[in-house]
Amino acid sequence: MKKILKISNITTLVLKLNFFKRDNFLRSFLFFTGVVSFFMLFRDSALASDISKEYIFGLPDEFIIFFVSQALYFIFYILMVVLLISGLKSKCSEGGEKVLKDDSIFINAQYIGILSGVSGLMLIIIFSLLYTNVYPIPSWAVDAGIVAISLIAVIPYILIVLYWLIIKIRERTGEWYDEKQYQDITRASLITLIASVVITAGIFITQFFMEAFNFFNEIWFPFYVFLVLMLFSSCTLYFNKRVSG
Amino acid sequence: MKGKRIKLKNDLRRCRFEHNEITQQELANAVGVTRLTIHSIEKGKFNPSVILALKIAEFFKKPVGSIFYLDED
Repeated sequence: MKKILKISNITTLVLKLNFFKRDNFLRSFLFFTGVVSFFMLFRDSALASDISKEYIFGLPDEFIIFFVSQALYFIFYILMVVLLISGLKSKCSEGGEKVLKDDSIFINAQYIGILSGVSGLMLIIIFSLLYTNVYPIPSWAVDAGIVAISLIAVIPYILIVLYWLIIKIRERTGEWYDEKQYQDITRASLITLIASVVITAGIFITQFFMEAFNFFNEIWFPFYVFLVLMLFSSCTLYFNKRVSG
Repeated sequence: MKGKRIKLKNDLRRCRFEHNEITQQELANAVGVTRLTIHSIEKGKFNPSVILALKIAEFFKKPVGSIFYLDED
């Protein structure tokens, strides 16, 4: 029953086309937690199955992971309630000004890019530190874990980009961004290029002197992807919002 | 000219006020950009392209030079 409710919540979020009509970090965060918790349902089923088999021998370690995912679901539900209340409030005070060229999806995509980038970086680093120092696991499990974590973290960003593409597909490609957005993206790209090369070069050089950094050998590709995503989205958002103050 | 910093300034806010006090969003809709772009131009944080400056001037039915002008520091 709980799973059906969650799936219906997420479906409502995605299908409600005006969900991203306002640029709002809360909405982006809610979308992110919603998508991630949806994919965690599958992991929960696998965990529940394992726990049911091992329960007779004592409290299995899977319980800890299970409780962590419950915390994420809790945040998701709290955010749903906050959004519902704020949505009801704003309905009463809505100005209703017509907007032909909307930038809220552009801004929301940057918020979700930051969330995906930061969570992806954190999760793969924590995962690789755990399997190298605390819980050694077979190499196939390491690869599978890195792929699964990367996919879960990046899927919300892919979904928002697809949503943005569906909306923009009717427009000419030259009109997908307005000229300020082009300028913001160009600046953000340059900074991302320089910063990502400097950071990855720093890690590459550090690996020669510190063995503790060797875990990057396994995760270099998702690390680079999430680093670029985080840098690009945060720089674009910074340049776009800079005048707002 | 050498050594002096030249900035592009504008009277967009005054033009909007004189043009039935239209909002930034209405102007943005008329010239095909986002409201934030108009806001950035007014604040002097973004220099519009020649095309956008011409579109804005055409909308207000004024010469470009009377809306956008160069200012030396």
